[in-house]
Amino acid sequence: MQQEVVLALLAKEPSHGYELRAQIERALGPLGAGFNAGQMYVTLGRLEQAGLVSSTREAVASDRPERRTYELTAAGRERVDQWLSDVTWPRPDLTNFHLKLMVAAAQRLAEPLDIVAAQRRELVRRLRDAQRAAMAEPDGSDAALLLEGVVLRIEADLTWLDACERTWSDGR
Amino acid sequence: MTSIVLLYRLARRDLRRRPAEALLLLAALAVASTTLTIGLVLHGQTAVPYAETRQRTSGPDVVAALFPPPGRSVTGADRDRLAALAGRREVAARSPAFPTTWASIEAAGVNGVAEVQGRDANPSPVDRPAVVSGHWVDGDHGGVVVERAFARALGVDVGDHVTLDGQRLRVVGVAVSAALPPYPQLCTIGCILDRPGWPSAQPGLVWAPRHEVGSLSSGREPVVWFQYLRLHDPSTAPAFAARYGADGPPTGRTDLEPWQAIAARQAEQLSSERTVVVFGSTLLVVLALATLAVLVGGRMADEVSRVGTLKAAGATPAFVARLLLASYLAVGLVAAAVGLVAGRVLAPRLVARSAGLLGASGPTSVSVGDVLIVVGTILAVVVVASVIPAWRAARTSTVHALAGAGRTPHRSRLIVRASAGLPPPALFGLRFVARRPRRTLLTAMSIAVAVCGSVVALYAQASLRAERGPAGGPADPQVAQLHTVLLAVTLLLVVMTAVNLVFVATASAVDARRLLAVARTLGATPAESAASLGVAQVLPAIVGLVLGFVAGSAIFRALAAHTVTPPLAQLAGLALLAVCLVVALTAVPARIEALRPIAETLREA
Amino acid sequence: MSGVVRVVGLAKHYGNGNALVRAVDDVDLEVATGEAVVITGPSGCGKSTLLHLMGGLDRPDAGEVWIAGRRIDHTSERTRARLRRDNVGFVFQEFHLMEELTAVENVELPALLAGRSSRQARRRATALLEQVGLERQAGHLPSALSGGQKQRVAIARALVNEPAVLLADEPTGSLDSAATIEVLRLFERLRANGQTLVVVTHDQRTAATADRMVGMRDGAFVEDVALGPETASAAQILTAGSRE
Repeated sequence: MQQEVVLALLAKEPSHGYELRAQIERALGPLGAGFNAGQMYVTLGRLEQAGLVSSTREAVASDRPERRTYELTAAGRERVDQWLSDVTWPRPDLTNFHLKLMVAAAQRLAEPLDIVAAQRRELVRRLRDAQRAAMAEPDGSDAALLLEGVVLRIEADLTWLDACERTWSDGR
Repeated sequence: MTSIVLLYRLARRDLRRRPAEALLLLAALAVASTTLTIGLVLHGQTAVPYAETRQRTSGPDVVAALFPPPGRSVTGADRDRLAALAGRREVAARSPAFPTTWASIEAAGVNGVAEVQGRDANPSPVDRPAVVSGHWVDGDHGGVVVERAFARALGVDVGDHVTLDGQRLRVVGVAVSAALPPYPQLCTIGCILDRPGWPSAQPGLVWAPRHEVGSLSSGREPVVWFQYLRLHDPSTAPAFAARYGADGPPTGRTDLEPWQAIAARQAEQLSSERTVVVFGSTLLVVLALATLAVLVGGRMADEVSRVGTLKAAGATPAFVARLLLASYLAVGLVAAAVGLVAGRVLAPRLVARSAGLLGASGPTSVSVGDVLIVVGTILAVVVVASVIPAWRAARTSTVHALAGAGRTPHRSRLIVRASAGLPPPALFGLRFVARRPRRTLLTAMSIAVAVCGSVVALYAQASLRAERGPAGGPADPQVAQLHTVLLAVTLLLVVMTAVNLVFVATASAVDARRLLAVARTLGATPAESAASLGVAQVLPAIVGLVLGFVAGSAIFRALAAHTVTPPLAQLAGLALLAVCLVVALTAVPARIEALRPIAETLREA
Repeated sequence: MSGVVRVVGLAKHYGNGNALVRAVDDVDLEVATGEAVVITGPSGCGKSTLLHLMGGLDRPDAGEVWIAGRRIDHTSERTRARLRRDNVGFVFQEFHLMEELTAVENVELPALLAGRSSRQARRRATALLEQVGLERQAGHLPSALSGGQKQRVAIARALVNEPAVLLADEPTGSLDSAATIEVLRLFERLRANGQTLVVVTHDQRTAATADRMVGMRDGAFVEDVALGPETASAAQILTAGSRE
């Protein structure tokens, strides 16, 4: 879980840890299912240590567990601003697969077309899973957009695999 | 200049791309312009052969006929009066007075009445009948000369024998004269038909040696004396006739007939033929218009995307409209030319076989006016039928046109709802009808026009049959002629309608192609598909049939003085024939379409 | 037990000599009841021709086609039409709806063809439109519907005679991604309800909804993969998707 997400969720007003968790789960939909509840508190602890959030203990009845309200510090606020203007983007790393095909062909270790086919099967399966998850989402769900992104990325990879297949079947 | 070259090139390409359609259009327009030309050529055509006959036979300006008073013979005093009339100073030349009587005639089983005129062997100064075969009457050798139209009707020629009141005589010649109207109009001038059964007969002229008339009549038949006069000024003939004609005492009345009246009788026959042809050509022009409308409308969808390309390339709407018109105008001009030539060649064959006149098959000319009328009509038809869709296509937005969208089918809630409970062929057929109401209307109209023409023809034939004398009499050349003309015009109508029907059926089949393919994927069998196309054609055809019958009989009733209703069997036969024709002509394209592989159609779509 | 659709040694060629195209070249396929099969491959690989052959829209040059236990490749056009009517529903890329008929009139058309009464047909069509979520558009003409809605009407039309198999030819080929989802959701529901589906597509996304994917190249099958019913966990989807 990215620390900046948690920080940004606190930007408007102080909040409890369990509220933050619920917000994130809503945004992720089915993808948030594996999200570990304890991880939120670990993250918040780390942020407090780094001086980006501060917490105050709330007075509660003795039979309830204690509740902490978390609040953004000035440093934390600065960190959120930085995060929002950040434009780094994950680079797709295709080099590995590309080299796999090259080496397999050069060393006569395997047929590149078989490698492509196997890879496609795997990607189609993933696509199917993402697709079904996307279709299971109700209308207007936030998570549907994320799943759409996942589907499009896999589609892009599959399109590249098609290009690989065409090139290698032309008797490279 | 460049744009004209471009226009020419594009129009030529367009015609080449669809040779079948161009040919069909050409055929339709050519048939229409041919009949139109025939109609025009007939107009005023009689004057020429009659004038020629008159000139070549030294025809009279006035015919004088001296009739005996009832129950008596002409007296010497009567004949003196005729001689005095012939001696008037307006008269430039005169023939001798010829005794004329009436006798029954029989030739090879054909019975009729002959007007027998006694003539001399030497040629008369006025009226020298032109002998077309054999020789003129000769008192020494006997034998008779028969007027050509009458000879044809009797079926006799030189060398045959005829029996005049039981007297067997040889036919020595066949001749043509301008003095009296040829068979069967002869008796429009002075006839005395006083034997039982004769009043309804139509006599023909026979020239015999003078003495034969005496022996034929032998006092039983009244003898009328004919004398032919030439005036100093032929144009005064009507005035001369009016002044001196039929003014004598009741005994020995003299009828005078000016040559203009005889010429008018000649024209009568042609005028009824002209009516038939003009009526026929009007119907054919309407049919040509229908063909053209189907043709133009049918290809608009296709044309629209082509127009889009042109417009995207920078052509103005006006240019596009001109281009669309140009293709059709080119075809129209060729068709008009073909029609003029064909009409010029066919007109004499179809009509001018008037045996009673000389030079009848002589040159019939197509005047400049005729050419202008034919070309003008055809071009007007082309412009009317193509300018509206051309304009619409040209004004279509370029983007829409490039997308290739044709006209969206029409929706008729009523028909859709009504057809839901019907078996599949009727269900689809009705919906096809609803999809293209204009095309349906055209089908109905084409059939209506053809049926209307055929019904009028049937009525006319029935009337002609009723007018024809008793069976066994000589053939009436006029009736035979009208039959031929009627038949020719009806045939042209039927051919044109058939062409039209095939075309509409094909256009509808192509239009419905994709839809039928889809219907077949949904489980419609080929038979059901073909039947639905059939229903789409037969329904409007039945409407057209009914309209045609109503309009046809109404038109004939309006045109003809007395109407003879043709036998019911004939009318029913016509209806049956029309339906069968529609079914047969539709079935072929429909069947072809219904058996097209579905996959192929869907691939194209 | 034989499948709903079975083809054996199927072949279809176009042209001849050097221009001979083996659109379908000795193909065997059996689709079990309730199975959702996708035939995929680049355009021109023969997948549409195969689908047409399976639905009896075209005659094969060799081989057999069996639908619902009946061999149809050598029967008359009429018999095949009847068989299609009762056992096969077609869905096309271009929808092929009758433009002048409303949605519900389009859907009831095959039912009317099959000889049902107009009331029965209307009732069934209305129910199907409800199933595809278009009950409110029943009276609309196709021109008033979006692409996805048109295709859903076409699917409802294909289902009106309760066919043994639904054959779809590039059903999402003319649709944008939102409309594609609409249609794929519908297919997913049909699959879940046990409708046998054969979908031809070159779209990966459409392909990914099947139980089984058959890859086709140059008229022949190059792979036949069961995608299996098991679904990956959410975390797996996320990591699979963001494979940097």
